Amino acid sequence: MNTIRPLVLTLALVLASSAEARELSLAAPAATDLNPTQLVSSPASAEKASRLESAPVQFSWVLPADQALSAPLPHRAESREFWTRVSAQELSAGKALTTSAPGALIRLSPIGQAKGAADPLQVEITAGGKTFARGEGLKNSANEAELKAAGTSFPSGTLAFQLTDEVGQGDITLRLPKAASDYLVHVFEPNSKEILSLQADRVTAVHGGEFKVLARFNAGDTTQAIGGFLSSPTGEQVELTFDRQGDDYVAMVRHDGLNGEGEGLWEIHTFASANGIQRDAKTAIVSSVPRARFTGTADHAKTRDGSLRISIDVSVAAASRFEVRGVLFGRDGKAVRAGAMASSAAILKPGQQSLDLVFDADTMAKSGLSAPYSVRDLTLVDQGSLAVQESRAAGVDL
Amino acid sequence: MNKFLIGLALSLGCVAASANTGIAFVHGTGKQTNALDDYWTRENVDSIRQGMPNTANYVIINCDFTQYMWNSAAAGCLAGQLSSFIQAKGITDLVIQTHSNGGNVMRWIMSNPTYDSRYPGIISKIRWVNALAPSSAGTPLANAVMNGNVFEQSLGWLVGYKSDAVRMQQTSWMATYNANNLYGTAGRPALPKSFYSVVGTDVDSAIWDPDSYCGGYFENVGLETTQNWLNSCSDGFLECTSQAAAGRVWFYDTSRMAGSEPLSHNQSRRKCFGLDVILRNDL
Repeated sequence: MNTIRPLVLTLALVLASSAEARELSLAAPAATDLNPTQLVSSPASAEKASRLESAPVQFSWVLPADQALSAPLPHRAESREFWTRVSAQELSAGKALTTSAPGALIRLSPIGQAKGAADPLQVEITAGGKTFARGEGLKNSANEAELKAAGTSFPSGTLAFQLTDEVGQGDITLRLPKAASDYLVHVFEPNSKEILSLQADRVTAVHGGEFKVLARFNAGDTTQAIGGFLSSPTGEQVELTFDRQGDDYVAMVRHDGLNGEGEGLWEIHTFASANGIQRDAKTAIVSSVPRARFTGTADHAKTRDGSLRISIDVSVAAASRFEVRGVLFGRDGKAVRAGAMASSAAILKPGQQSLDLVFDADTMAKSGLSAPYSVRDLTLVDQGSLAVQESRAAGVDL
Repeated sequence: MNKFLIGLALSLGCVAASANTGIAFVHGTGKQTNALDDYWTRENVDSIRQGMPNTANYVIINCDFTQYMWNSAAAGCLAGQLSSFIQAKGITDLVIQTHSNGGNVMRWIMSNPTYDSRYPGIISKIRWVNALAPSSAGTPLANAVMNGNVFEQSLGWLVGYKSDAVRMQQTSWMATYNANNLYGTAGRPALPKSFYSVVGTDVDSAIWDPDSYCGGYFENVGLETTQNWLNSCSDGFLECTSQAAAGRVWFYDTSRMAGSEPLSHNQSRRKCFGLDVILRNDL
């Protein structure tokens, strides 16, 4: 067995990596950072864990010199629509609806086993004392097959149409004399100024922590009724209770991320009525069950081949595949800017572990940056749940 | 630097390095088993691949894109087929052409290079991604499909009534994934390789207009209706803002298509109005 070659290689690696190594501390967490205080030691589903990559992987790339970065903001949903479930009997007799602008789009989707397709010629609309029948009052109607051909997957038997300007707005009666099953009636008013806005106060909700849901009708109109719920990927629901705070209606949620943990996002549904108009809004939020966090220490080495390695220490409570990612900042002339991105992931077992963030020599050379460096937007992700475990915007100065 | 200059620099470099160029066609939402005939059409693919020195260096991806983008049947399947293609053909310069949700699956791979040990090898071979009508910011149509389900959602979700890909392409979901798990949108780090979008801006479905028949008249009629759920600039399935949300806009349809025709969502994956020639010349 030739032992000389491995020895030489080992020596070369030691020499290459020994340059400039030193211990570092991460910047203290800021108020806007995701910073879990307690870790959960129960692992996520074994089935999910079995699908994760087993090999450690590192990757870095150059960012453009004009790269602009900003902190992620929670999505603000705006709704001009509502849904209501109508029985076959009620729809046969005529369902009263109120619209706030001409040109409402109405979709009728049968519910349950009886999937009778509605015919636009059977739809009757009564508005302003006038009845529109046999397709009058409707335009742009499309059946399920036409909608499917357009790439949408509405339920079998769906009919969609738009009300003509003649129908106008206000109180209307929608009638389907031969309705054979209950229907989901979806009313979307693209031209309406009655808007329900909805957003969470953060992108990620941490298990055991609190977050706010903020709803607003127009610029702060008073609602006749408002309610909603948070739903998990597995269908668990938590009711939301809203209180008026300034122009908003606010619901506080203490987040139990373990009850309903699954693949995908959690959803926030809100239903409100104001000015005689109904609106349903929905948005999404990431649920993070923290199973690992930064210890606050790191190790830094610039190797002689020109690559830059930062070993980030991580405390792990439950095994998973964890990833650390960060943006390299450095000097470009007199300016300091972002120049490269790196990611490193590996399966980590419970205990004190570390992940090596490596900006390879080619990336360093092409980044156009020079020392002093810092790694910002340092983020720890559980690749099992795809949720951020911890983030430090200020990262670490090298 | 614009795409032309990058292409010029790359082509000069490629000549020196004897690059072996290949193209991969990545379909959108759906489970495909014959995307060549059922999704892209053979005449379209055959036209586009004429732009390569070796016209046999192409692969048509067939994966299950009804799943979440990161799923092994979606990005995992895509990574497997791309890796096999790169290896089998010795590809060193890969142009990826995606349509619709295929852009999201590709963007998942480029945004999460350490999620799968095959990803870095694929990314390193990519010249750029041409994303035809990508659903980068989702679509209100996915909201409409999913939202009604709130009344029977527990049942619907448990029995898989709607595909995860549709769920994922709701606007609130894509906004959250763009903020958290994907790169290339405003304020987020750039992707490791360029992502150029082609944006469709309108749908023509007039029965007397022969342009309405390219890509299928029936499909375009449906898109004319679904367009009403969207704002004034859309390809019938996606708003222009969604198509332009990630990477850089290569061009808006009417600026480059023959007769300044718009590309509906079905037409942007077909041989319509000279799009195939533009894509061919891009190779």
